[in-house]
Amino acid sequence: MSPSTIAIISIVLLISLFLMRMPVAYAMALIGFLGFAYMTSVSAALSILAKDFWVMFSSYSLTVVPMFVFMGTIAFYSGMGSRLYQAAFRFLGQLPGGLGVATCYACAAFGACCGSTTAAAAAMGKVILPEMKKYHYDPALATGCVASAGSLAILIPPSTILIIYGILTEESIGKLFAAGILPGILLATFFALTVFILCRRNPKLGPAGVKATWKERVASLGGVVEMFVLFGLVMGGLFAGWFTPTEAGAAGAAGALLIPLVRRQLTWRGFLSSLTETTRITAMVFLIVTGATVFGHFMAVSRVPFELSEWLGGLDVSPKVIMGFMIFGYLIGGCFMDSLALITLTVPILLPVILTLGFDPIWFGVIIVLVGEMGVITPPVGINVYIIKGVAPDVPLETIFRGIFPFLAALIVCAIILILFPQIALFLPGLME
Amino acid sequence: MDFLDRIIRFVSKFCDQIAQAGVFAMFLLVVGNIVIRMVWRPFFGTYDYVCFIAAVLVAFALANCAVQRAHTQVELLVARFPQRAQGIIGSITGILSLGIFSLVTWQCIVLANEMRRAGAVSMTGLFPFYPYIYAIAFGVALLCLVILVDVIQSLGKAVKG
Repeated sequence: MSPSTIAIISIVLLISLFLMRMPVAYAMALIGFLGFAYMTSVSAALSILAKDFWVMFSSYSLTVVPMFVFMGTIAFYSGMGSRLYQAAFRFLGQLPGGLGVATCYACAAFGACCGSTTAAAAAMGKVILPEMKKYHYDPALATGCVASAGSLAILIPPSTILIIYGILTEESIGKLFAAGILPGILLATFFALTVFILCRRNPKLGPAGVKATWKERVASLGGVVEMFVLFGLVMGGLFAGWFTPTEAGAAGAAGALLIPLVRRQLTWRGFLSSLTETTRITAMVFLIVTGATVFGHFMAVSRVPFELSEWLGGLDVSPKVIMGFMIFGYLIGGCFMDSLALITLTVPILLPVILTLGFDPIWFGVIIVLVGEMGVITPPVGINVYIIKGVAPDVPLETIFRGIFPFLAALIVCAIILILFPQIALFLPGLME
Repeated sequence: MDFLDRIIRFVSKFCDQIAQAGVFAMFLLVVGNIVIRMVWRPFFGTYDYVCFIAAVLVAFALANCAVQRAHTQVELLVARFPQRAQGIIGSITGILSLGIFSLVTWQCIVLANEMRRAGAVSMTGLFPFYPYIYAIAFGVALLCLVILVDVIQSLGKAVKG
């Protein structure tokens, strides 16, 4: 059998194991090991297995993960999301669908402190959904809005997915973070416009709230100031070259810890829970990346990624059309798989293709994160939808999925704009040259 | 069986608490290094310490992550199957998982032994690598035990339905 045939059989086996509910990391390590053993030798495969576990578990570049996750979980348990929402609501609440518009920007701001979509959706959902119920918001709009806006957390830095993408592709994490800022703001605005347009057409969907006084608005700014301080510390430190990404994460976590300690808003239980959550997410991420590394070694010896890129590069088709097909593939894959798993599985295979076709890997990182965002809200996997269902158990799952569609349309429009105008993503990283 | 399950859960949780202490230690070390290098000079060997803490914390958190069912998996298909089919599929994937992680445990011990004999140390701090590789072997072995309990439970499901 040719190496390509073995690789294709292995990928089919891998997907079968995924569908058999074998954890993604386990399956990638198993198939990667078996494939590598078949292509080289059992002793070489055994040796590389232990080395991959040691090298990845003790990787300095991966230590950025626990630090940013710690920062995000502290922000979650200290109620930062609630303060951001109160500020956004005071300024935007009087608009048609004002609570929804405020939700979009509050989620974007929370995403600047936390890189997890599920944490963002849970934190904001707990605060916002009862308020929306009080103002008689349409349940589909309310839940769809929070689930979708919660997904902004993986695009707006710090983003766990962008960190892993940066490690897999050896791209600068600082540049990837910078690349996510403008698309994140653009997407938050698209989400806000979606709510505004829907409520303008049918005011019953989201009645306007009470207009706050300027005194109330200024008083609510505390939550926004602390977000800007944290974001400025992390991104400023990375931009200026003061911090490595791990140091930026630790500095952000220090800020996230100090603010609620001064405000007396973090309990001991909340602190311990944030540590528990951090080890859980860290172990999950490290094991997936290690499994992907073992699998990546097998892919490298099979030479499939290089043959695929040579073949696609030789096709008489515009690279944008090929990119369109790849994004479509990600969109379908994202419906069935967690975005982190999807990215760790596909990036080692597709990176040579991206480079051969002449696309910027930083821009591609932003694009696949955007597509990953679609994956967290689309059925049947749509993790954010299940999180929101947990927060609002009285709203049927179908209603939440129905509420998602206008926001999914906004996401697709945003992705098309980014494909047509890659400069939106590449402008800020360009300033870091 | 129930006793074994409880023991493994207890040990996994205890190891996870060590991992949590590791996260906080890493956080303090990195922040402390940022502060001290602004006023004096960086801590010696910070890079090595951070890497070693990461290795231990991840290894010690693996098993509890599996107990919490937090390792990403695709729930879509199997959850719709009858209990017996779920048990059979769970047994197969569990045995395969057990196989790969047993190999990882064994090979980590082999690698640690080699590193110990060769006297391999880190570049800056000259700290030996092998204790941390033994820690990884321990963490992965604990993960194997968690998977073993899952396999026994899945086999029970496959037999009883």
